[in-house]
Amino acid sequence: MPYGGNDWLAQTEEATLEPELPICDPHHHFWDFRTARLPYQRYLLHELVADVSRGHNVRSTVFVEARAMYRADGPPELRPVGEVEFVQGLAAASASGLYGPCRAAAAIVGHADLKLGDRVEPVLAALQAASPNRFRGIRHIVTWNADPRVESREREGVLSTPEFRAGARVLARMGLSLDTICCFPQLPEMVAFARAVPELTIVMNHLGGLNRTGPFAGRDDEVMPAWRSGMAALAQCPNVLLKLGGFGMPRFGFDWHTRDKPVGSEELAMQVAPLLSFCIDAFGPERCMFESNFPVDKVSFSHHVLFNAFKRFSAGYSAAERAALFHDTAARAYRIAL
Amino acid sequence: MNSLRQQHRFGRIVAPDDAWLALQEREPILEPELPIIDTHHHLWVRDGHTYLLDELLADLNTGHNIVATVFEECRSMYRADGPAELRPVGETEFVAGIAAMSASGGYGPIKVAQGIVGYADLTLGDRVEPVLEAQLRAGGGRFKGVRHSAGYDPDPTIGNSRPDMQPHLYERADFRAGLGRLAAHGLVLDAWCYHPQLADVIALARAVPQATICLCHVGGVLGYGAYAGRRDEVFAAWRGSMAELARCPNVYVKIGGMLNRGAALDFAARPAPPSAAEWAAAWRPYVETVIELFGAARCTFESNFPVDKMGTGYAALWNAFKRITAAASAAEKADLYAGTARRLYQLD
Repeated sequence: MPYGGNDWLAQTEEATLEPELPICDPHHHFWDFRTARLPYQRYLLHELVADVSRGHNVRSTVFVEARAMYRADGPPELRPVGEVEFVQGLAAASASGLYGPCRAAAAIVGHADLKLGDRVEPVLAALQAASPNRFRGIRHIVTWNADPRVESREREGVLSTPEFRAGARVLARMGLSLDTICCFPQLPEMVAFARAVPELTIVMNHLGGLNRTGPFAGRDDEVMPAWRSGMAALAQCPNVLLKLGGFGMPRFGFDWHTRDKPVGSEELAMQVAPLLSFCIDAFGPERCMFESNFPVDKVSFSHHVLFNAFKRFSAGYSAAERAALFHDTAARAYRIAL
Repeated sequence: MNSLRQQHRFGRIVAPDDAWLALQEREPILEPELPIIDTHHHLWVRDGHTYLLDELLADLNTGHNIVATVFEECRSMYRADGPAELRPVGETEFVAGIAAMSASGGYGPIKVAQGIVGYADLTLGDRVEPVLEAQLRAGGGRFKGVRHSAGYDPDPTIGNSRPDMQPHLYERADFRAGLGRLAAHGLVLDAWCYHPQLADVIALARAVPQATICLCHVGGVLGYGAYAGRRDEVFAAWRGSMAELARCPNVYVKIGGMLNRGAALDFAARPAPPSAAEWAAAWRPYVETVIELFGAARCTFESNFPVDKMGTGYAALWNAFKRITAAASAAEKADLYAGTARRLYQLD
């Protein structure tokens, strides 16, 4: 049975823990025709609704850009506007109530190329116009590593360039936030960037880009201290928030996706607890948010099992801390009034 | 078998019956190169019937050269909350999203929902202004007009446009003030009423001459209820009104949507759908009359899908239209199937 499919995931069914606890899932994607490596070629409103309607109280979600539905023509820098138009449509369908109480894509994070510098302003204005009521910011992935086994999405040192920082300042001036992800050896660069643009709210995705595969495989003794020191330094930047999730991606090295039967929430919670505890200790719950990163992380576990695992893991935190982790930090960061 | 189709009554909308539609006589696609803009279709999830991008594309890709479409409002995906007058903006947001999917190129070359005709309550009068502005913003350049339907008939079997519909919506001063606002934005009013109400459309077109009005479904000929068995009398009355309306240069007509209200053929009672030739024969008098009165430059064909999918497949529908227009000139055809739509709704 191929990993990641709904049939495979159905082998691990669980009762919903704490079904009342309000959740904002601050990170998922929508797309169609996604053939590259993922088993989820289509992930639109129906597919998301099926995943988030399994018993947890998911009140709202945040769409994060994934290069979906770019315009086929027009100026290249404006093509990502098509993605926000597309997601605005799915969000409107959700807001009709026809698909249940969860408000999908209540906030939208699109893409604009910050390397445009000051010239990013009309792109951001076009993104805002495409969704006057839900667009909240952009994501610009800056992952770079010299090793070809790491999928580099930017050139080396882009965070330090004047044009990238100029673009980031425009973003902040327009009241928008930056979602980003790097490869963990870049964390010191990210710290320098966050300090250079203190007026910008930066939402670091996926535990800061930990990678324990490829060039980093079998080197936990070097990798983990480097990641921890990078994250500790980043936590010193008050303008940085952190998304706790993404560990279902194979690069985190847990290999759940290779199992015959999907991992359950008890084992999942136990295995990720050291990573999550370290991050929450460093950033504080009011700057952290649990994320699904679906459907990317769906290769490893179901949305339902994942949030059971978050609930098991966080059982020892106070009610206020858990409210922050599951809902309030995200709702505040993305200005979701639900 | 007791399908929804067999329970069908004229004037009501039910989900299409795919198994029955598959029995429709197949014929080669006529004039398969002729570019077509389908100026009137819906997208919805309604009573368990889903007609969204996949379902629409399956119809559009049945052989005719559909180059673009215009979405027509149908109370789809209204916002569940917020001010009542702004709830229809949800429909435009939703459709603009589908248009953006289409514009990505991933679903083929057809420009789905290149134009959007949404809803705004024109009886708000001047207070419709912020609604129109919100609709224009939500449409991202695609919002081209408003349909505000006025269908009313004293016969309760006809079925009015709204449960609380009153006669003579288009005569109301507040409606006309709202229409003035619409016209000031260069937006089109899609009008929809039944043939006995056409005098109201004529009066409206004269009272607000700066407004561009497109009359849907050939003017709403009724053929059931109190109008059953009176085809010649109805035709004469309808023709007289349409001749008068054609004198208003600001009025266009959408040709299509005749299957349900017109009741020319009792399709639902048939073991198989009427063929393109049968539909063409039933509709020819109305289509030829409208084109003669308004000219091809003020007429535009429409599918009215999935409503008209109750009685015909998409390929046969356009073959029926093409049979009717077989003798038209190339220039007339260019207008009827695309050019008029392009100018009317300012597509491109």
